[in-house]
Amino acid sequence: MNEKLLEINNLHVNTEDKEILKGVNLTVNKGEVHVIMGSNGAGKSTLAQVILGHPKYQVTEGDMIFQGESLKELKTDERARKGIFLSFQTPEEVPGVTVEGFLRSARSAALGRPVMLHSFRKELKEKLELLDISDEYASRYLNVGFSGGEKKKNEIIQMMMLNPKLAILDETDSGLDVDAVKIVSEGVKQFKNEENAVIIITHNSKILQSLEPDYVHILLDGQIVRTSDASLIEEVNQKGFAEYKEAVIHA
Amino acid sequence: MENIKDTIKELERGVYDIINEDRYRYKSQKGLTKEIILDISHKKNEPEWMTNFRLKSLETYQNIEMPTWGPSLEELDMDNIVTYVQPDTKLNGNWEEVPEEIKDTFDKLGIPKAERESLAGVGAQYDSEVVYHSIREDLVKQGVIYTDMESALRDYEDIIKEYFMTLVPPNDHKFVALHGAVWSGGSFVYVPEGVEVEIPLQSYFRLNSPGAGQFEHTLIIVDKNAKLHFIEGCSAPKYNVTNLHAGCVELFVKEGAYLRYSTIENWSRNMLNLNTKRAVVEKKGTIEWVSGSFGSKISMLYPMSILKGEGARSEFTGITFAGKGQILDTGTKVVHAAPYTYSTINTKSISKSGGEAIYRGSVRVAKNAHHSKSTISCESLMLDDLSRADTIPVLDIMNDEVEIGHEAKIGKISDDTIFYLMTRGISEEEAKAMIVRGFAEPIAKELPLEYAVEMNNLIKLELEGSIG
Amino acid sequence: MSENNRKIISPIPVRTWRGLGVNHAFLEEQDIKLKPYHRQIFEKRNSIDEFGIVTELTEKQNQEAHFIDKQYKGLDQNILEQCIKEYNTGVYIEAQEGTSRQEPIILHYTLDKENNTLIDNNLIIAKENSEITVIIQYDSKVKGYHNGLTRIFGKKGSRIKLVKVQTLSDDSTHLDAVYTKLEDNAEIEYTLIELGAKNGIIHNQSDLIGTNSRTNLKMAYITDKDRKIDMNYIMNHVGRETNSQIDVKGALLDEADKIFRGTIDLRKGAVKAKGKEEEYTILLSDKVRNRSVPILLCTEHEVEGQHAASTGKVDENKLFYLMSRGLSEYEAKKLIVEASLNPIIDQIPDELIREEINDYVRRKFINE
Repeated sequence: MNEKLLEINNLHVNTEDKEILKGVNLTVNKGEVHVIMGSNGAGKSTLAQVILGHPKYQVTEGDMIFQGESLKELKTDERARKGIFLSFQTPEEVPGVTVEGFLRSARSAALGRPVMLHSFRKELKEKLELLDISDEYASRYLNVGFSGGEKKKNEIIQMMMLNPKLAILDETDSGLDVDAVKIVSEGVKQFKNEENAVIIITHNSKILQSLEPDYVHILLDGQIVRTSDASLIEEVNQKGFAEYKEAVIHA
Repeated sequence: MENIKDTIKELERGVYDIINEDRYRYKSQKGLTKEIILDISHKKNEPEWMTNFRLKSLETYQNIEMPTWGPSLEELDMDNIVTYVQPDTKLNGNWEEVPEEIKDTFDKLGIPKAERESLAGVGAQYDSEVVYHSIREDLVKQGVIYTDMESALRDYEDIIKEYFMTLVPPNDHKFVALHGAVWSGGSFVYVPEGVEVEIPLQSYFRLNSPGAGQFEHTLIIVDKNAKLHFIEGCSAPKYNVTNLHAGCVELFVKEGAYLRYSTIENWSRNMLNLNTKRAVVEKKGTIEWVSGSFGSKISMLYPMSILKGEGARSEFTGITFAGKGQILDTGTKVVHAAPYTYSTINTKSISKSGGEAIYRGSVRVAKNAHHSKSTISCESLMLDDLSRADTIPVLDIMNDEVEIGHEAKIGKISDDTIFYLMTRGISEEEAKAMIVRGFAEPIAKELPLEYAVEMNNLIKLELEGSIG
Repeated sequence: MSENNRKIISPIPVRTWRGLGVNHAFLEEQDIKLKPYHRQIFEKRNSIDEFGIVTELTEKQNQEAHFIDKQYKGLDQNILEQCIKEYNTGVYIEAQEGTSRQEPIILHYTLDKENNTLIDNNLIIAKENSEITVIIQYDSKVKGYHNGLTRIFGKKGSRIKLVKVQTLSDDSTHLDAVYTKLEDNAEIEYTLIELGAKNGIIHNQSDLIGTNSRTNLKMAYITDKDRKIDMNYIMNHVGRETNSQIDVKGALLDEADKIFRGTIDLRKGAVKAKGKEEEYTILLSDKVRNRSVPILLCTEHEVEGQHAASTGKVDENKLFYLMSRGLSEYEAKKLIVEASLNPIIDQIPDELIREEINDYVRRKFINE
């Protein structure tokens, strides 16, 4: 219990000579669910993408330690193979590559050996059923022609199939109807156990109703300005972010 | 490092690059004269009309200028091309009788194996003559003819005389005129009315002799409501001298008939591939072209569909992969010459390491071709900034009751897509290869399995040494 | 008509099959007697104000147009030389650095009995960070010959709007060339309306030399009777992050013959450049000929290039909808054509000219 998974220290990040993250500190232990809230443009998606090493961003100061190892020098795929997963806000379309073929490549990249086809297919079928998606999705091209909701569900299937140690969900609930949010949060709940952790970036609290977060952070203007327990969600819902913004200005 | 990668690549191309000793029974003089033409025709024991046809084509050839568009063909020196090389064997109906060395080459290219597993008939041409031909018994019983052109000229002279170079006349352009003069080898297929050949026929063309030209002629007639899938494969080893391929394919698709013509072309990098392919489609007939261009130094290849009968259809699916030192100018032409005709064009090109991939096409809708539809889509992928990707389409429409749509895109592999795949643990190199394979997938899925595998291997070969 | 008295002009940047007749435009040789042009073309002669200069083109200014690409041949060497050496009128416009002229400058070239030969040579220099709008009109009631050249130099950060409206008589010849060169962050917006002339041959070459320079070309045409129109638009992307857009919409009636040739050339070094061309043609007769050659050339991989062309008759559903509201088929078709051209015509910042165009379009349909 309480084994440290990810530790972010004083992280400063630039893109195109503009500072987006201005000293973020965050510690995530095994078994925990973290929620990051914040207004548009606060740097939430940037933080998620930096953890996976998007080449668009440069870390100018600070570090990210995952299970005792700095991520800074690792390429994106190496970070993924260490067990970090990012559910994209807008997943990329990859024509010509099927969902199943792609998942098999990703799984075998993680394992370092080919996957057993039969058990893989069985597992995939189970996950598809769980997320209420028909079998034929497996043979469709990755995200091509998917609706917004289908793309998000596809991200969750990938998460479940790759079974990472740390899953970061970047606004996975946005653009989903009520039923879909329920299905997605059910998927996350199934995935979650004492050995892994989840960071949820969100604008609204629906997805959190069944997930019981341990910590809630408010990220504003590139800094975490407030950290508390789940009760903070209710507070934000009532007051908005304005008050915390003022707190930053005064600080 | 680049050199080592190139070397590895060359080694892996090995199977295509097997060079056999240049052993032949007869080889014509270099260049092109009336005497050489007469010589070839006499050696082949041809009827007089064919000899005259050759001589008239030669005259046409000498009077037509070189193309004023497209890649430069400066290096082509006809005085140095050997137009006729007769291999040192007769035509065989039994694989075991094919000379060891030639057999070995085709074995390595997987030809007899393919026959055993998935083909209804096979022809294999070595330099200027077909060395092997076979067709399944049941098809023969149904009246299907599949033989080499020389035998066809002997055994079915009337049919050949009626059709030969009527669809692609020698005055069409300089290289078909040349073809008319020096053609040799190739296949003749006739599928009688109503006969559906369910598994493909295949011809494989292999050019072994350095500095030679290959001018095979393929003539296919698919009669009313008949059905055929024909596969053509080509390769040659690499030499330092220029080889020339100026083949000609004439396809006659009769009323209600269906023909699919698939090609995976992997000529060596010293080949000028100036091939002419054309299909004429009668009422409610269908022609489908599947075309993969990987090899050659310069290609100018634009299979053409003439939709002559009401309700005729054509579909063209093509992929072109231009690597170092290659100029692949490929595309297709469609003529809508009757009402209610439909065409679809779907092409993809990939260029890397200085390769030039050019899509060139035309779609013409004649005055009477009302209610015709055409959809054209061209996509180009640039893998670096040493390369070139051009798109040069022409639409020519003379009727208002039509629907024509054309779309083209040029771009590189998106960094965001690479990042997305890498967040799933896939390496950068594999992510790029995956995107390129995905790009080519719509073509690959049109090919028979073993060809799709061959194409993916070719893409893999092409990508190695450029990525990483 | 024999081949001999047809002149080949306005070549395409890359050639293709000759039989399609799209590698060049064809111009019937005609005996043009050069004579002076006396009409006044803009309101105030030779004005100089805080926004810059508008004067008749002087020989000195003509000679100083060094910015032009040495390779530039316009429609053809002779036709270009006629404009540069034998022009009978022309205007010099200079936008003062850092100024923004709100009122458009209107150049009105009319051909009449006495002045039926127009060889105009216009030079527009937009200095650093200036903004300017120029409207050039060509019209006539009589048969005439027009050969025009407009050279435009957009210096750093300048913004130019060029509107050209051509309503020459149906028996006139209209040769028109525009050359534009843009420096860093310079931008030009073209709104081109081509409605008249027996034979309209139009050439536009824009060289996007500076980083982040941009062109946006919108063109609308209606061609009817046995008239011909040939467009040859060339966007050369040289600088980084350059952006070009070609958007052509038109309708063909009767026995009209149209050729659209649009080239986007994304050259090596034009990193992050974007080029896009779109063409849409409505066909209103089964005797028209509609040719399109949307070319993309690319030697830089960090780019996005796109083109789309579509052609067809008037959308049946739209037609049905309008006719169900009581419009005749003809009225409905006219409305649909107008509707597709209006977004381009609406770009013209002068109400009077917009009204004139709308009148002209209406007349085209009534003539039937």
